[in-house]
Amino acid sequence: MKADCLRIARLWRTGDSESFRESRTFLKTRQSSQDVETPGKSSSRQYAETSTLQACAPRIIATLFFVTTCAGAATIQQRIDAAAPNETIRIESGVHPGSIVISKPVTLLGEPGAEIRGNGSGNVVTIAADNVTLRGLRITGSGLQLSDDDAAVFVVANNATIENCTIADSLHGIYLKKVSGAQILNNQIQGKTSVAQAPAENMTAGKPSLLEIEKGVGQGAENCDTTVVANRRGNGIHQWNCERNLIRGNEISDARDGIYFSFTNNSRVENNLIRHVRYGLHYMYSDANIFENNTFTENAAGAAIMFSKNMVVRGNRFVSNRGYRAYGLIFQSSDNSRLEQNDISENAVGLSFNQCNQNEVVGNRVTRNYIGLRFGSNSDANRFTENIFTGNLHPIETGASDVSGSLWAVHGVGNLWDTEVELDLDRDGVVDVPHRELDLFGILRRDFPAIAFLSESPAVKLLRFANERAVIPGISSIEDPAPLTSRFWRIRAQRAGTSAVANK
Amino acid sequence: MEMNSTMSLHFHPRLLRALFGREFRAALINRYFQVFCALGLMGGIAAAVFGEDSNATAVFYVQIAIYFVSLFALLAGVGSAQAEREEWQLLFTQPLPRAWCVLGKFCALLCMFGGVLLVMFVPGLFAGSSIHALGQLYLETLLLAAIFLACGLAAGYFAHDRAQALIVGMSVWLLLLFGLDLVALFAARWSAIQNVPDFWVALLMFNPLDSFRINALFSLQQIPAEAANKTALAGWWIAHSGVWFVAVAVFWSVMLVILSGLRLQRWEE
Repeated sequence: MKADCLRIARLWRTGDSESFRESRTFLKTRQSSQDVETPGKSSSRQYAETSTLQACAPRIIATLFFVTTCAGAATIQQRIDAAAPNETIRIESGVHPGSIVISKPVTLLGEPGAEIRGNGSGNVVTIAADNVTLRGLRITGSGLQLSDDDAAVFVVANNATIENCTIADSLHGIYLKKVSGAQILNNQIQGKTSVAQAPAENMTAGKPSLLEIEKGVGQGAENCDTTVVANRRGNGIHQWNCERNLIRGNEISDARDGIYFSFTNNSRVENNLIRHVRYGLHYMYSDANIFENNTFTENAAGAAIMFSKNMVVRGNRFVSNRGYRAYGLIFQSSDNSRLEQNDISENAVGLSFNQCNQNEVVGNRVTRNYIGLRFGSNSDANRFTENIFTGNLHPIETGASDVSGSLWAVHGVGNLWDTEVELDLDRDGVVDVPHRELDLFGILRRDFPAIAFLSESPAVKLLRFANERAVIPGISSIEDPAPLTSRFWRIRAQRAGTSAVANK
Repeated sequence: MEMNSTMSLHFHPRLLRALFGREFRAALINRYFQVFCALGLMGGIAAAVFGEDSNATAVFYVQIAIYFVSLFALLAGVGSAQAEREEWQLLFTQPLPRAWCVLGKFCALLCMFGGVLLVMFVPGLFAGSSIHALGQLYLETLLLAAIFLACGLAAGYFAHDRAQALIVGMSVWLLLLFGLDLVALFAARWSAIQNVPDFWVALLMFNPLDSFRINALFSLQQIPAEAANKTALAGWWIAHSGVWFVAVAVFWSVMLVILSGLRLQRWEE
């Protein structure tokens, strides 16, 4: 209380007009000594927003400050600007108006039911200082202008932490722009799926309604089976030109893209759930990132990783991305990466490789997809081992590509395929004869989609069986020199156990 | 004229019991049927043991149904029709409608198949498969058996001897299993066929094995079918594959049993 009065008195005496013009003008009051928390002292403040008084004389403003110190509620913005660095500001339950610019390192800690609601334009919360933390808040009501990158939380400073927040009714959820060290943890982000109809006067003035604008933009999409509004939504988490961020435990739904990466390196994305979006993961020109244990499900177009290198994609689930031309995971022009232990199931295309080189694809389950593995052109020196390619309607699609440049077995260990005969006389879990996976339908899949009705047909199996014994000329196929039996992993575990006992 | 008079006779329960009893006794000493029972039980146990999960078990049953149940149902039908060929003269003296004779034989065999299939499917319950899914698959497999039983009966009644009946029956089975699909695969490369995809799809729809396979594929394996259902008919088939299979099974079974009855009538004449 004493410090506040001194601060206000100083303002009153000096009348620093520049500082008032540059910042917003506040009316501040102290609710109780418990409202403010400093690093060594636990307390809190309560604020309410008033109008800006940019043109007022500094002395008058300072007087107003002084008069209202103990009389009214301050806004969050006022409390932030008045807070000392590294303070924790408690946001009480209830709706607090945005927009907020955080320009000093503080923590905003929301009590249950605390909501910061924007006015439908611009960003709701802008983090413009390093080491800012948002925790336990509900943040809603950003603008909807894609061209302006409107977001619920717009981050342009380093080491921000956004944790346990709920974000809804906004364009982008969290927008990270040219930052490093951000931590986005355990948030729930729900995209804006509908917009209100424009007022009738807009229609009469010849302007279409907002809804019609949404539909009009969306109808041009041909690459994926999205709803018309989806293309006009923002992304759940949007990163551009970032470094070393951590995105963990978030749940994202109904956005355009779940997590969007662009020119973002050395980041970790872990344990997130992304569903009901267009691309679960939309990833371009970003290197050396780690994706681990995320689930991308029921999205229109699955996950796409393009034009990147040195990634680790491990333990993720890419499931039930069923739209026409949707992918479990598409790898496009990406090199030197490792795909490991991912579950890629029940997608239109399970795993797609196109113009990718020197990747390691190890221990993934590619099962029950319409097309299990689509292997495109100009992909060389990729190493496939210990993967399970079973139960796919079309196990592989190579088109007319040359697939011989990639290795389908590493150190004598290939992959598990659907096969009628598992000849394993030495019982090492590796089939004694090579497996040739036939791309029987080839280009017919696109020219004549109904050909899918012959999948798993005994006739097709007969041809595949024949091709395994003697190559059918003129039909593209993958040859795995050391295909696995379903017992391979059990046998290896037993042998590992035996050798461990022997070593002891 | 005679047929009309015999058809107009009332169907007595004792007659039904006699027909069933006769077929059950014949089945007990029928080698095909004994082998089928043993293999069915083994197949069911194998499906339960080797299926990695409940879904894999169901898929295992689908394979058993397509390759094994269909073949043995056809052989049982052929065998049953041909087994009493030398007794036809005696049979024709009985005041029994000929169509009822075929129908009773068909129903009795189907009941026996139902029992054996039940034995085959029970191990699946121990593999964690849901009763609903297995029950549905059981009924569909029974319908598939009905089609091939009727097919076998028709082949048996139309052929002049057992060898001919077996050749005809096996030819039909191979045609339905491999032949039509191979033809469809090569026909799909013609632009003329590609211009009428619904016609191509319709041909597959009427093949009971294809109908059974598609239903199992898209309902059991949960494979997305959006890329396949690009025409109205294809979309309808995927959406109603179960209903369609029942319709196909009833159509083929009824038609083949009627043809068999008519053929038996012709033999009498």
